[in-house]
Amino acid sequence: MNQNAEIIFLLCSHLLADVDCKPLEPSEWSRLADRLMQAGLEPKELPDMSDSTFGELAIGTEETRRIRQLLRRGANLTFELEKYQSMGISVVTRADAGYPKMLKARLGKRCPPLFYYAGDLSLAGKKCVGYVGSRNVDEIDQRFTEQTVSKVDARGYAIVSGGAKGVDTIAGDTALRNGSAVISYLADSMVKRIRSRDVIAAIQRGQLLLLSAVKPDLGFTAASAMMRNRYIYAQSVGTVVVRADYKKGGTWSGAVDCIKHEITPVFCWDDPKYRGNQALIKLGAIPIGENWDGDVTKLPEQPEEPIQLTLL
Amino acid sequence: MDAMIHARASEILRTIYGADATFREGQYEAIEATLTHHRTLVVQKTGWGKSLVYFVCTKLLRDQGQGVTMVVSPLLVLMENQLASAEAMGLHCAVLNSTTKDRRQEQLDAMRAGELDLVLITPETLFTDEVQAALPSIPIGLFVIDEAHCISDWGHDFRLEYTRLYRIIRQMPKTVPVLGTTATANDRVIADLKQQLGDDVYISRGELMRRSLSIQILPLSTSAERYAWILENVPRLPGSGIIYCLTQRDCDYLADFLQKNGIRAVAYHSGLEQTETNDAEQRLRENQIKVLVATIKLGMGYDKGDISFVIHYQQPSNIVAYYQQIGRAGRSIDRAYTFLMCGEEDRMIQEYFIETAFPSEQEARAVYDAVLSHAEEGITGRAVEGLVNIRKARVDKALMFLRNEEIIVKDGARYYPTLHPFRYDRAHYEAIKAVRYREQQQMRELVHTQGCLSRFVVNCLDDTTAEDCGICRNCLGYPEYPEHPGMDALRIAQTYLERLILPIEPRKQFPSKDFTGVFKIPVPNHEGLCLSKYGDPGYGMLVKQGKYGTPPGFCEELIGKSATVLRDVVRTHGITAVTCVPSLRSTIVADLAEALAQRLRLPFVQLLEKHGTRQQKDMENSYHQCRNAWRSFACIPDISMPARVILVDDIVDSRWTMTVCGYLLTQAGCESVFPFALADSSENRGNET
Repeated sequence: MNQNAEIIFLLCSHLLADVDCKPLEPSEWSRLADRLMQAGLEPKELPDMSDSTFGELAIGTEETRRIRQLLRRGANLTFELEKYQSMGISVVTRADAGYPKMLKARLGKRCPPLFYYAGDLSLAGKKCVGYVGSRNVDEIDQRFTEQTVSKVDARGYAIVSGGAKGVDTIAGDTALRNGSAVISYLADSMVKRIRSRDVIAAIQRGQLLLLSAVKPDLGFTAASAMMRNRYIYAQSVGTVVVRADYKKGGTWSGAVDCIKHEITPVFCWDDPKYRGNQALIKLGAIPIGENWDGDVTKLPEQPEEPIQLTLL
Repeated sequence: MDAMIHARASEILRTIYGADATFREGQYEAIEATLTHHRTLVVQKTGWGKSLVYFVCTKLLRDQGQGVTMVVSPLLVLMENQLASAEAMGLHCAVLNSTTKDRRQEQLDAMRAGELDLVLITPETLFTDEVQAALPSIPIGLFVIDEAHCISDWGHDFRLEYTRLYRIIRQMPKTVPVLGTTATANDRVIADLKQQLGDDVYISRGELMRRSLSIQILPLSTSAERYAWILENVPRLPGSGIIYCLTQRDCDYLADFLQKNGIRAVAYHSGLEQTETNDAEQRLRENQIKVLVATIKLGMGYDKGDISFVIHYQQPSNIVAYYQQIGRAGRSIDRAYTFLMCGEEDRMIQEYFIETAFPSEQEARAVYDAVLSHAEEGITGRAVEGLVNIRKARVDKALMFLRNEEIIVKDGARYYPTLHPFRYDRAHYEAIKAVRYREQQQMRELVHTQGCLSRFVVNCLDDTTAEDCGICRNCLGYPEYPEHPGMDALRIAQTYLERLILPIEPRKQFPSKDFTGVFKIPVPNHEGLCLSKYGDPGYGMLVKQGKYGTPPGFCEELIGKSATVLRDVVRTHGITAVTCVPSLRSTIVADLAEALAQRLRLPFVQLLEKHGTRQQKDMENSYHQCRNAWRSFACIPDISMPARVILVDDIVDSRWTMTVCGYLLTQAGCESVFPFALADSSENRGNET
């Protein structure tokens, strides 16, 4: 980690969740980073900053105290981090060159200050197609997923998904079998995930990258599952919705959020059986059928190339 | 800023040591470097005042509202005068190690509440689950690594805690001040420490010569000569001291020999119970014993100011270790004596340690595959043994190695693979071996140098400022203590060593079939006897010659000695017959048993028979040995069973053969079984610590 990255880690990491001093939330960090940038300062200058400098940045006494307290966590956080590192889990922050660029470009201040990750981080630089959908799938859903993933693969895309049961797993496994790269933005339980022999093998082959914005051993929370949907969309050139429930569940709200904020083009299986899918198509999702050719660039209107932002 | 540090630091010094007190050369600079976000490394000899540096830093940091100072040290006993100066500064200190375990929770609570200013903690304690769980809520203001040379890349032998410390320090954010201290470091160690602390590390380095220590070399090649010299000279040495041995077994024997000859000696190594070693430390501290016979375990956890002598029973592995160990002596007294015994045998032992330090690639691979095959649910060490045919000690070594390389992790009692792929960096391990051989070579050069011995040692540690000490054997031009033992002492030692007999501890249970549980043996064997350590000089060598001689057969000396030893057994245990472990390959064991029976005037009866099988010595670990032994033996049908028998074998290793044979005999009606073997070939107690 470079020194700016160290500071982001100290301020934003939740590894020491049981301390009474709350780490900065993404929006809080973004606000602080903006102020630093405007004043021509870098995060690494925070530890030696005087009260008056904090004052000039319009940071109150209470907030200053909190920042200073968070900055003192260095030794403790290093101990915690080492436990995860010994398993093969690392940290990447917004101040690191390896941070997923698509996320920075598309989510701006809303992208998480840091990710825990396992696997080859450079995979996040590949062009990806997202896959989302229900945890409960039938054989037809499975076939649709496998067929379209294979077409997408053949065009050289990596697959990005949430690593959950159902559509996510089928999409990921298909791509891995085809020898393609897979990126999973996990919502929970990264530590448990990396004990699977298949996951170990795929990571060691350099085919799989796991990312998590939450503590690697944290269990499932709905909030975290919602957040990571956005990362999948932001990471992808286009995302395929295989099956969404109507007006309920993560797939539905994630897709609606993406369409509303125009994060990335949403492709949706045009199956008249699924009311959720039909509703998404009405909202603006691009309908695709079983014979879709996997070309996510063929659109009613082209998405702009991601803009490079120097965002810390 | 720095002027302020200087003013405050000087003020603190004066409040403790009076208005005239000034810092010793380098002390203030080290304090300032530590407090201004530098990585700092202090390489200064014992007594220079390294602890004062971190006491003053702690005081200043605590005044600023920073967290506790954590001093990680394998050497935990702060000397009285050091503690007194810490307290004079108003610092609240605590020691966290295995001996303060019962107060642990209380201490951790005090740390959470910010009531403690400085804690000394061993790496082992630091990485216990209990401390790790508490750590997130204890702010740390300063991180000190005492005896920092221990974490140097080459310096550790899979002491996992040191590897973890190494990794942690390397990536500690620049916001945390880190101070490393050591009295023992050559350029290589310093370069290595520099690498992990970062290139901008501030190094404080002074002369290392300890003027209170004299060195005398004792070229004595046999155990008997060394035993005799110690017996004769330890009572003539002032005060109390330490004898360092390379293996646990050497400590046990030598301590026993000295006790039997009226010298208050106690063994000290990691094969003993915690209570025993604590007791030994206590007794040495209170000068209730003359000498502690210890492995290097002692160097890592003990401090006493008035140790008057240190004797090396064998050559240590390198100068760094040697300097560290002789440095135990003469800390708060004007004069202390150190003796280094040496001979060809030492080289063989050292080479053994160097050669076996790393698991082979095959061993590491096999153990890794076993762990990988149970990735999801994890696997225990015992279960790994069930899957691979590798000696337990080697399985343990491979597990440590794999953990150290972060290829596997341990969570609770189970091992899991990590995401790091299996790798075996043969070239790297060979390079480490080569360094160790070079360091051993340096020890041999020390033994033969004609110049000042102390100067040679500190020169090896890259301190070139030293002058001749004036008090070592070479400076004086004559030995202060005799170089050879007298004939009387030599005879006593020889007699003792010849009578050394090893116990054969009975196994009390069998592993169950799937190795997940155990099955208790209703009538375990009696504790048996074994004449020698296989291959050791003396009887051990005769056994080896007998087994592989042409024709094979054990000599009269072995038979005579065995009969002498067993005569007592026959009398005290009411033995009624002699039998032996059957063999399909040769008759040497049966011949031996028959010869013994004749001398003991007892009947020899063949009670057991053997089926064809793999040789037990090809079975590497307990699980496989036990399974093999089970398949190999049976009682001869319808034989009339004697009441109490001596069960003879030539070589005992895992003890499973003796255990299974004993079980079969007692199941068939024998009352008790007394095992006897000529030699023990197990690796037990050959440990280094």
